[in-house]
This record gives sequence, C-alpha cells and structure tokens, in this order.
Amino acid sequence: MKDLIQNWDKAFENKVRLGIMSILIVNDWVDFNGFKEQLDLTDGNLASHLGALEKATYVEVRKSFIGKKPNTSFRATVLGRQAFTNHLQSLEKFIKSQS
Amino acid sequence: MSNDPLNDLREIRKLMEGSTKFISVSGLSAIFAGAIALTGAGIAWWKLGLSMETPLGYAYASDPDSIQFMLVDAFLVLILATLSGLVFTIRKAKQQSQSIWTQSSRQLLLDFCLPLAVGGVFSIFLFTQGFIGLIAPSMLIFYGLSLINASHKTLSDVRYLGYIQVFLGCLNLIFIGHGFVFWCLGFGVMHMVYGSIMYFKYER
Repeated sequence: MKDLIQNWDKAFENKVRLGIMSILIVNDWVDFNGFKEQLDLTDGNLASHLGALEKATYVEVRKSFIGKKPNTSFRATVLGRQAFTNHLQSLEKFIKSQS
Repeated sequence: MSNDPLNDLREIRKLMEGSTKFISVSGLSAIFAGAIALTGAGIAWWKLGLSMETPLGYAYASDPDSIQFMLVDAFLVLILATLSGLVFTIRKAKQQSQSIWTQSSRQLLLDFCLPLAVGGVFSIFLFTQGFIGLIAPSMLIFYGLSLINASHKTLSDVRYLGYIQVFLGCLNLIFIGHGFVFWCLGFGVMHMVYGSIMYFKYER
C-alpha cells in the first residue's frame, strides 16, 4: 500500500494537471483555448497548472502569433508521456489491489 | 484526488476521447436527412414522370427544363439536409453541455468536407461532360469515403454507413442507369436506417 502511493507522481496529484496531460497524450499541439474548452477553468488557474507542468518538463511550450494575437500551444514531452504512463499503471495497480 | 483512482481513470478516458472526437452527432439528423432526400427524389419522380425502367439522365439530360428542375430540387435537398444536421447537432451538444466549435469539431468538419468537395467537383464535371450515369455512383462513393475519413474524429459507427455508401456506389457502377434507385437507397433509406439505429443506441 505504501509503495503504491510512493509511485504516484506528485505532479499529477492535482486533477487539473492530470486532465491537461490526458488531453496532451492523444493530441499534438494544443493551445490555451483548447484546454479551456475541455476543462472549463479560469485563465489564471489553468495557466498556473500549465506552468507547473512546464517546470517539471512534462510539457513544452510554443509561442506564436495568430495575426496580432499571441497564441501559446503546449505539447507533452517524452518525459511527460513516460510519467503519465507510470501514473496510470499505479492507478491500475491500486484498483486491482482493492478488488 | 488520490482518494478515488477509479474516478480519475474515468475522467482521463473522457478527456482523451472528448479532446480528439466530436461526439455530439445526432441520429435524428441522419433520419431527417434521409427523409428529405427521399422527399426530394419523390418530387423529381412525380414531376418528371419517371419509371423504374427509364434510366434517369439518359432520357432527360437533353431537356433544359427538366435539368433546371432537377438542379433546384437537388440544391434544396442539400440545403435542408445540412440545416437539419446543424439543428440536431447543436441540440445534442447543448444536451451534453459541450461546445460545438472546438478543435475536434473543426477537424471533423475539415476531414468530412475535403473528400466531399472533391467528389462534388468531380460530379459536376461528370454532369457537364455528359457522363450522367456516373453521377449517382460517384456521389455515393465520395460521400462514403468522406464518412469513413471523418469517422476517426467522431463516433466510429459512422464508418459503417460510409462502407455501405461506397459499396452501393460500386454496385451502381455495375448497374449503370439505375442511379436513381441506388441514390434513394443510399442517401434516403440507409440514412434513415442508420439514424434510427444510432438514435436507439445512444439517445434513448
């Protein structure tokens, strides 16, 4: 039980971050509004969680312009994908251990 | 969040699917599109006095009035079917509290419209070049391919409707001149059958 919890990734303790990674796993570049449409969050909340994932180098950031509007897109890094897979596996293990 | 892993997994699954697929397509739009197609075909049938034995097109391709009537009829069918599709999609998206203009719905629209537009241009040139008998098969085949192409971005059941349309189009190539029958089967009957199945599978 204890080592199961240890395997859980601290970066995914928050539901929003887990949600962000779930979207990035199955998509290539996703922009800020893309996350907002799916997750229904405020700008500040979303930005802080994306920042945390960027700090953990689980996502990479690309800044560009659409016309004159700045547009920030995100993509999962190899490390991020690996961490997400590990996290899913420990979730799975936990569920199996309960049944 | 660590208290409920099962719920986490469910949430992950929902986000993965929702962010790549646009699933607010309604069976009702297919039913109505089918009914509109059959009505349009019925009007053409009645107005031009067609019969099963008269291969459509060969008999009327030379008569400008008939052609004009058919074009107006076909155009109205297209507009009404698209409108009904839009209305029911918006309605279902509202029921599921999803937005209709998302990254995945835009991608779906593009995946669907690109092969369809090529098919449209192709069919127009078949018409202007006088290959009337090939119009119905080409419409069915291109429409089927558009559905198959779009099925990656929405409910995967859409693919089966695509297979059926392509099959009907190919079959029509063997029975050239009976495009009217195949067109009614594909765009009318199959839409209604498929729409009903989808409606009872997902919306009841």
